[in-house]
Amino acid sequence: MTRASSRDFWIFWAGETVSNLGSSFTLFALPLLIYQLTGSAVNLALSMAVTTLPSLLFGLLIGAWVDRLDRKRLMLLTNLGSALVIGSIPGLAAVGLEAHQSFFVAWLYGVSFVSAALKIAFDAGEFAALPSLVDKEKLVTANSRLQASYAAAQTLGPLLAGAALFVLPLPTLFLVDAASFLVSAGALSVIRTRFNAETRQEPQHLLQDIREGLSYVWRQPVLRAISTLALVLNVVITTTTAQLVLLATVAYHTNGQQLSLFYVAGSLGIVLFAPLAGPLRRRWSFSQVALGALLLMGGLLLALGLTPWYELAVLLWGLSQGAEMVFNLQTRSLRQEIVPNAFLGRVMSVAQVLAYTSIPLGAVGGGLVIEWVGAAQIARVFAAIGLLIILGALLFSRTALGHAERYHQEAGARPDPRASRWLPALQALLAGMWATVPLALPIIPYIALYGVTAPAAGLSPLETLVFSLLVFSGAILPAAQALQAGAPPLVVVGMIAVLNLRQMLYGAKLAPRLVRLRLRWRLLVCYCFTDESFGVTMRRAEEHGWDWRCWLFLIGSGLMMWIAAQGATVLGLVVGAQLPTSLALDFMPTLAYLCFMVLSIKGVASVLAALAAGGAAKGFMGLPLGLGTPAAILIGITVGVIIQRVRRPYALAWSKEGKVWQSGS
Amino acid sequence: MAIWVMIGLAALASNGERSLFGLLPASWQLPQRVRDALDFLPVSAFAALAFPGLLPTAAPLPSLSASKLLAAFVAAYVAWLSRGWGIKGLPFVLLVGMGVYWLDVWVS
Repeated sequence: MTRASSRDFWIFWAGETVSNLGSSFTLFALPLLIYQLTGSAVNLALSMAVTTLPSLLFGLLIGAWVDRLDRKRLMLLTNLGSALVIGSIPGLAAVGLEAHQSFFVAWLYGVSFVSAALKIAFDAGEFAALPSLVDKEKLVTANSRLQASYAAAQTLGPLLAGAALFVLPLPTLFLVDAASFLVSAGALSVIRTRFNAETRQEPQHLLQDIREGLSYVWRQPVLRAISTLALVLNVVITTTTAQLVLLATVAYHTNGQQLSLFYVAGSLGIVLFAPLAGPLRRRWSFSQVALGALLLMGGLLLALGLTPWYELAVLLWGLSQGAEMVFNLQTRSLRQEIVPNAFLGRVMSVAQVLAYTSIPLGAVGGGLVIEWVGAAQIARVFAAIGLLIILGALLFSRTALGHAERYHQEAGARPDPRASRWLPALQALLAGMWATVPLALPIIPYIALYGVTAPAAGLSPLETLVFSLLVFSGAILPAAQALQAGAPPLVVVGMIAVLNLRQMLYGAKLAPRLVRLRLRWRLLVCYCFTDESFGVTMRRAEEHGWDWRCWLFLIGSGLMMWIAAQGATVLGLVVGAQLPTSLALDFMPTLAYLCFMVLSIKGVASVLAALAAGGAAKGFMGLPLGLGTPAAILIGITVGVIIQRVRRPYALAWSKEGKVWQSGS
Repeated sequence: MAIWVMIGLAALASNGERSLFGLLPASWQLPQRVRDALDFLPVSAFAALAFPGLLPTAAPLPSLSASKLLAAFVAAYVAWLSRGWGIKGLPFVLLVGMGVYWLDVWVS
């Protein structure tokens, strides 16, 4: 950032902060005034609805205008226009027109409509202006500063406005907003930097501009992926904000004060997370931070939907809002980084139109779903939304969003020095998670049964969770069943030790490579050993050869299993024994193991090893403490080694005769 | 208190076993014979995990076992045919296996 543009950014930021604080006064006062005048919920809803109309009607048009006009002048004029429009409310009230209720209410609707239209133009201009005010590598930090001040204003504004009502009449509050627009206009007028790049070609029809903008968004792979993801996310996420009150009331039986803590936590999450977006982006690539934030958000919402504790729910909600803000900041900044200056206004307007289309759809759709499943199921709806977000993040990691740095560099931004190392790492991690999804889903009913059995065996919910967390193995279910049947705790420990013996063998198998890792990585990798993770990782290693990505693939796979296992434990604790069993999903892991077994077969020796191990496992099923499985594995290995040794001399003799021979394994 | 001790010991046992070979010094290596033998670990481990689920010792519903066996055969065959797809073929194999199982249960 040059000295001049740094100065200009801070002037811009200051003007925006004041303007946002003023706007939050209007956001507080306008619905209140309409309600005071009409006492009607329908009028309140109408006042909100008219603010979304301009975007749908003129959003694309305004975006095109922003790209062809002098943006700074346009923003300055929209500020002056907003000051005039908002200022008209106290003006009309002062001359006594407030008494003409119908006229005054219609005027208020008009003010909402016009100021929303002006705001679209200003927002598109702001989006397009920022790349002129800061260097590309500082866009995330600049955006996060603007968003943090916006979130702080949204929290503080209504409080200040409420306090001001003690000394001022309601219409006067709008003067604060009008004055704040004048401050913002003043700030813009002293900024020296131009907001437009000098690249404008000969003028063309406005509709041609709009078509060009839409076509650009659609043809640019990253923009297309971001727009599609934003559309999907808006539809899904809107329900969480729209139905937060229902969740708090139904799931946690909150009173008004407790409910307000959810909103405070949400704002705090945004204010605290927004400043992290810049440092995170400096350390990791766009794909890692954006998709990581999305995964985190999904996980937090999933946990929110499953947790029975109010305090934890408030914390999870706050964190999820912060994670969402980090995601939004990354995508916003990336658009500013990769889109040519001449298209910025139109790209922003497309995003706004998509948002204003999908948010009402999501709100209504979510409401209908909740009505269909019943309000009592609201927590499960939140959990399902969390799961959808996780799946969405995994799915979109396979699109251009998963390797956005390529386009970032094509656009001339500073190459991310860490991207070359971290991007493949993230891709391997996500690939591991993705590969394990079909294996993780079937364990949910199995582990959920543990969540039901453990409390019945005398464990508190906390003990149940900690047990699952620390042991992280399918052995917890037989252990809980043994406890329920009255087995002494030491026997249960022995049972877990025996059942997990095969995981020691997995460690032994990978030991020659494992010992080359740093200790903390070794411990993390070992914690991630599950049958499923080991299976998919070995398969990947056979396909692509063993390299460092295999470790991250294994960790990703383990992470997916971990999410499923811990989520299922909470699910079992909360839902109890109501889980459906008719689909026999518990059969799916068996099929997966069978599939891994088939794919591990490389010759006669391994076929016989599999048959011996399988037969022995069947025969040893009655052995105590689950000793049958490790014993069967050892038998299988022994048979495989013996067959291989017996066959080797024949193989050598055969090859001496000049024949081609495929060895046992 | 006894429960917390049990949880602690179970965590120690479980993670200790997992990490045992990861905690060994870098210079230490398993004997070559053992490493060769462990080539048979994946196939043996997955066979030992899969077979008991296919052949329950005391099957109260023989048709259910038959359905699972049939589904397992088909899934194994599909897994073998689609081995060129690698790990990406797994969801397909699971889908086919579960589909055959559900179909057979539904028909019978």
